[in-house]
Amino acid sequence: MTQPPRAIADKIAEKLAVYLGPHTARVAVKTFSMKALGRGPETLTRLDMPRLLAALRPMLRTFVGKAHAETVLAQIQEDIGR
Amino acid sequence: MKYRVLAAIPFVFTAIVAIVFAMYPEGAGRLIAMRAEIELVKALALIGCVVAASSFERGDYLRRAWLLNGACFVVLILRDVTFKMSLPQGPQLENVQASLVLVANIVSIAGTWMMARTWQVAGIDPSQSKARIALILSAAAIALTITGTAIYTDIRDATATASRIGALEALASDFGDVFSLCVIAPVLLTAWAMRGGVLRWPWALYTASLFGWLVYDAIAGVSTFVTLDPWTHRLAGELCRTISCTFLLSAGIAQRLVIASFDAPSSRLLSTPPEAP
Repeated sequence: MTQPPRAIADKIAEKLAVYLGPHTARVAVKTFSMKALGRGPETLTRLDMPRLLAALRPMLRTFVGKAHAETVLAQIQEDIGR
Repeated sequence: MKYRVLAAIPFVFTAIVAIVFAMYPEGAGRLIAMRAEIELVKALALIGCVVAASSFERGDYLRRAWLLNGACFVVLILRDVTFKMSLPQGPQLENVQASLVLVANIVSIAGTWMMARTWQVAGIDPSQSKARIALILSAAAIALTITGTAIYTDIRDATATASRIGALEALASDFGDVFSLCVIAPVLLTAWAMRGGVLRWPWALYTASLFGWLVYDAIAGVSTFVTLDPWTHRLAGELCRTISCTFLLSAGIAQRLVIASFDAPSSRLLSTPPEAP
């Protein structure tokens, strides 16, 4: 079943919130959604996931390092992208 | 729970140091206890930075930042061990000592600057709100006011006393402090932005360490205007040094714990049960 776009954005933010806190997680999803896709998080679909996750990569690498950023991204992809 | 324990460690350690100092009210024992405390807390701060840096891989941004923070303590410990505890004093050696303090402060500035810039480097929120800029500038102004007194005193000493090297050494340290304290606000804002997430802990503890140095400099400034018993002044400064260095230790361990939580299979913080199709 197709998830509503808002649900996808919220779920990604929820995953990131464990590390970044809910406020920063929401801001990050919004910022990188705009940056990578040129539109807001409310429009996200599963097809946008690879580009959004790629956009989130540098931010995560800065805070948790290369290796662990990949772990987080893979986990999000696995949990939400299926 | 473990992060709260880390936050409590600096207070407990500082209380222990205060008790030890109280046991040596005067004499050589007091000086030995103080020297031991100074080197111990610098070593603990260094350990914290190394532990944090080791959480990351080569090339990671925060690895460099933590290593630079730690390099400051390597140089300071080297200076203390070689010059304050081993070699005899002399004008030539004072030059070397002052140079080492300068190097230590330069790497400290670089490390603190990198920590302060992390939010921008991550690119989470490229917009700089007016409130954020105002807060950063206000904090810088407060830090300058506090450390400015120490700078004034050391410039006065550098121009008026025979021991210019010692005063120049203190000046290098002052400028390092001024810079580090001016960037308290961006570090604090990063910690605040992370509220509710585990990454807030290393950032909050690192901020607490910077605040400890702010108070350390404030005490130096107060002594310019208020006549303090030299021992009371020294004791207050040393307790600030202790709490700052041990907060850095706690911050480094917290950073390590957060990163290690990614590796623990049982902790899979991010995972949730699969959805129904």
